Amino acid sequence: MKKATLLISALLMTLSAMAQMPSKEKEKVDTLCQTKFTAVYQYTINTTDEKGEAVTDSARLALQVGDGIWKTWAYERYLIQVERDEELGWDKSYFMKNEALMHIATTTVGYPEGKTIILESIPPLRYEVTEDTEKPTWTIVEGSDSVCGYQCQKANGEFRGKTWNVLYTEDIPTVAGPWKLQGLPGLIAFATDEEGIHTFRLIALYQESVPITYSSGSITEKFNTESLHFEKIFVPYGKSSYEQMLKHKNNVFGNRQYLTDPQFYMTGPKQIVVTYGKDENYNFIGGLFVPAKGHKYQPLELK
Amino acid sequence: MKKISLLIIALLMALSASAQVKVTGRVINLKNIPVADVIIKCVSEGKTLAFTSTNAQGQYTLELREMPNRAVELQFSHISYEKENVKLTLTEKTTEQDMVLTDKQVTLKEVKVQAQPIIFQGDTLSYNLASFLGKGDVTLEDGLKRLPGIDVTDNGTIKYLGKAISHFYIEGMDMLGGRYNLATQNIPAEYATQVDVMKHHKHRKIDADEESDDVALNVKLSNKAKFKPFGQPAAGIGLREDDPLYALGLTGMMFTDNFQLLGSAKGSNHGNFGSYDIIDHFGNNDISTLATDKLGKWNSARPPLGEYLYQTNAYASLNGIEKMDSDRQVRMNADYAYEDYNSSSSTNTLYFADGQNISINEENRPHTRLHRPMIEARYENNGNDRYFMDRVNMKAQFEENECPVIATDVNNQNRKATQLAISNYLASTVRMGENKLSFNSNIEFVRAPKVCLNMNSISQTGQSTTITTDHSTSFTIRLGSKWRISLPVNLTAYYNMIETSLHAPDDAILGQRLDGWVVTPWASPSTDWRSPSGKIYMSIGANLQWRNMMYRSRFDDKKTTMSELFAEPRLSFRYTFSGTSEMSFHSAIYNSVGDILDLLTTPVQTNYRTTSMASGVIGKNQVWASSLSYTYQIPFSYFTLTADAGWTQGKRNVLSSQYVDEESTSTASIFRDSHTKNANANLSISKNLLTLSTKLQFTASGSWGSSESMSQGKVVTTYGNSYSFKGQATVTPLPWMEIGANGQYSRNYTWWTGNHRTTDGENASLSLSVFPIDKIEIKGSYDFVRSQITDNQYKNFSLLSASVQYKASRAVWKLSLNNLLNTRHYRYTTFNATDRYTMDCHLIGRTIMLTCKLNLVKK
Repeated sequence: MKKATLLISALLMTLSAMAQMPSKEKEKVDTLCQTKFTAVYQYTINTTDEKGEAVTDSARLALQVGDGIWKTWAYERYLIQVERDEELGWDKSYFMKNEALMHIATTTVGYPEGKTIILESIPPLRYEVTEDTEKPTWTIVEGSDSVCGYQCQKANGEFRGKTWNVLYTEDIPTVAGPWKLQGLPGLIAFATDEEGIHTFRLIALYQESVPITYSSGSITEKFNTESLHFEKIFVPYGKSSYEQMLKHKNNVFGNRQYLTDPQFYMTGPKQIVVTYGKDENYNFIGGLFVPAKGHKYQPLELK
Repeated sequence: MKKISLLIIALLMALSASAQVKVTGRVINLKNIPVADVIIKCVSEGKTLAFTSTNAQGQYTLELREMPNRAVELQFSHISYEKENVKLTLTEKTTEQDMVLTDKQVTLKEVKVQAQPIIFQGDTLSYNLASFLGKGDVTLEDGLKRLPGIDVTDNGTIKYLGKAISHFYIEGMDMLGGRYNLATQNIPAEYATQVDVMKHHKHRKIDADEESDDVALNVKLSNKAKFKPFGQPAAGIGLREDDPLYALGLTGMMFTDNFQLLGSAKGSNHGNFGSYDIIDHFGNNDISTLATDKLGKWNSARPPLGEYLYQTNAYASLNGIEKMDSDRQVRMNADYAYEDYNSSSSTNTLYFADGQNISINEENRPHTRLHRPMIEARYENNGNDRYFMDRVNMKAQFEENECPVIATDVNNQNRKATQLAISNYLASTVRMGENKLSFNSNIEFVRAPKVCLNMNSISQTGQSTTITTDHSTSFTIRLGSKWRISLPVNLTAYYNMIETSLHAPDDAILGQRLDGWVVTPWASPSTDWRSPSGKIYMSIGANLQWRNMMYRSRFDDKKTTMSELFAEPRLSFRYTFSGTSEMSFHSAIYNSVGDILDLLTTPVQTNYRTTSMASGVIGKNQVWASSLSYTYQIPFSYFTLTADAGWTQGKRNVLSSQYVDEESTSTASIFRDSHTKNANANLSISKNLLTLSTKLQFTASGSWGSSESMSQGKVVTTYGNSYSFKGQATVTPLPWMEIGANGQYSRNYTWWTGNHRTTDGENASLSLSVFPIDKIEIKGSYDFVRSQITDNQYKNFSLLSASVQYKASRAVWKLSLNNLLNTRHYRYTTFNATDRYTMDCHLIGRTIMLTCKLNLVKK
């Protein structure tokens, strides 16, 4: 019996390791609409590591803009969705490690109408947060600049406890913007908070029609002890309100212990796959990467 | 009071509301469907007064703070519709304005994502190779040469910031050890997606908490190169000085997550085709035996530039590695190499000979044939808490060497030598709580059964055996998280035997047989400390050796013994300013003690005119070496800087002596102290300009030194200093053009009692590649050297080569035209203390070669 349990555990761990890469087969995916264009942003966070030394974390985000709906998520996830995996080139799971280090969520604005859905990760679980779509209060100010070849106008605005300085371009007539920044008379091409911690910079733009998708849960394989076969089961993401999630993230990622032990809050048995190869700075827990050491949490919204 | 305040606020709010003006409406398209997210802007004299957007029902409300005093323009824009403008004169507080939009796709200016050229994470720099590749690059080595901070030397050694790499991994697996040229010369550049440079690398996981200065490279491959075998057949034909040339090669590889295989076989009678592929950069290529060290093979002078060896070479290599799990790996490597090469050169040697200035002219025509088989098996268990490795290696070298020398007469020389080596190396470490215990064992048997030299009518033979056993154990104790004490203990024992025999006509046979043991127990206690921030690292330790020698000369039954204790203190210090900037200092005293060859007092003839005799005194050499180095890099500016300076001074208990006359040269060691001193400094800067696909490098170096020797019975102290500057640039000014340029200037001063000498040299090279279409590269390269031969005589030297390369999807065709100017001689001068050597090397003439390399992989 013990041997069989060990075998099953080993099989599960293997499957879990194989499931590292996101794919359409691993999620329950619905198509919401087709895009008008996709904008790619370089998102950086200036923060400190566990030793207190300054570090800049960087990742690329894709903003897919459709009619009334737009979605911001990891650029590499977008590449996988549009079957341009070859462009990942590098370490295929590298972006998932960045997502973990930088706490990058998937934000879908306008679905359902008037709402915003955010898929957050607090390993080993993922949560779906639904909130009323809220626009920053913008003021157009003097000044202009060029981003990615587009002439942009300056504006600033308040959003959930932070002041944002942005550049938007009227050459791309949309109210969309990266993450939850939106509502200007043109695409937001550059945005930085007043402290200079978070920065979104437009680096690429594709005019294309591809689906904007929504995933309400994951599909995992579970070993059925009666039929002795693996079965696919749908596991919906956990639900949370905005207020609960804000508190939960501050309690976990904002905790001092998180820097030196990012698993400090986890209790009970954990299914851990230590990634091997030359990069052993991450653990793979419940389908999510967890860094061995954290970087200081810098929330995007304070209230 | 409170009520009054509330009343005032209510009044103010009412007044404010009365000042606002609203424009409302609904936006639909031609199909009468409401349009969401239409941007509505109210503009007056080019200034935006207000803006809003429509909701899902197409409705909008635009609010202005005050009534405009003139007409305004209402602009409706949406990415899927024609932009519409309406002029309005607002007189009412609420105005309604609906709009019908006409379909029209707004065309956006597309901008593509550029891959991030560098990712910098901790001690690892990851280069996206495609960001750096040039159009003409074919092999992985071509790509590595483009990366900032990385240098690849002529024989393929990879260096990062001037430091040779300690490990070469492909997808995290070390299949080739030091034979990584097999990968860099044969993996197509386009198959490698990422190159990781890992600084402070620790190959053994158990050493994760140790300090390390090692640098390792990991190459990640594209999916095209994974999970399926692919091959690279190559073939070529050509013509050189009316002789036909051929080249034939086949390389096959397979890379999966747990298994890697690389087999390669190449043969050619032209140049370097395949000859560098199985060089072992970690020094495991050559076999060193006492007999072949003493009775070495004859070579001609090697020119710094130009092809001079007429060589035929062939090799076959099979390498495989299997990852059994995340810790355990088994590796097999087997090679066979054959080399046949000949060359010729003339040498004028001007021996100072205490002012006699004896001049000797010789012409050498060496011809060498080598056979080198090798097989190695290695098992490694690289766990976090335990490490075990066992490596068995067997190799042999069979040499035949002829070297006729034309001086005043023709002197015939030939030599045959056989060398064999078998070794087993075992290393193990276990973690015991916070401490570690290691045990290493190396057993090696090296034998030269017979080395035979025939020089005119003189015959010199030799044979030797060396058995080495080297066992060490170490224990590391942690004192808190920052302090550590290590105590390695080692026992090394050698058995050495050498026998020589000199047969000269009409003379008695002069021979000697020596054998004996060297047993050296040693301990190397050390302690190191790391600051809590990790920025400061210090290590202090000492090697304490007790060296015991017991040698016996069999013919005269003379015994030589030595038992002496040596202490070698050492100090290391490193300060890390940041992840990109670091300074380190090392200082140590080293002792080396001569070997059995110091007791070879019977004359040994090494060529037709040179005999050597040892002093019979065991040589002892003590060196104090210190170095200070600084490295600085700005990864995202692709800038690296390294600077280092060093000081070395040494003392030997013997002095090298030379006696020269017109007929012969005798070398010996005299029992007298001699001293050497050396100071050197180097600076190297590298910068990549990605927008121009340009790599710039600059290096400067200078040195000063002194040494003592004996010439014609008199002691001479020689001083010298030298400096050199070198600049290299690879520039792509236009998408279809690439220019490579480098230049070097060097100057040397040498002086000794009443004499001095100055020499300088300049060389420059220029290459131009033109790509009329992406797949075709037309390249021309020109080298120019101006070197000083004597005080007033300079010699200019030029080489011109050209090539045309066509990269098809499955094949790379290359037509090479080498030495188009048919330059046949290269003259240069070097110095050794007070003696001057002027060499005239024969170069290979005009050569034309057509090669084709195929990629057999599914696209």
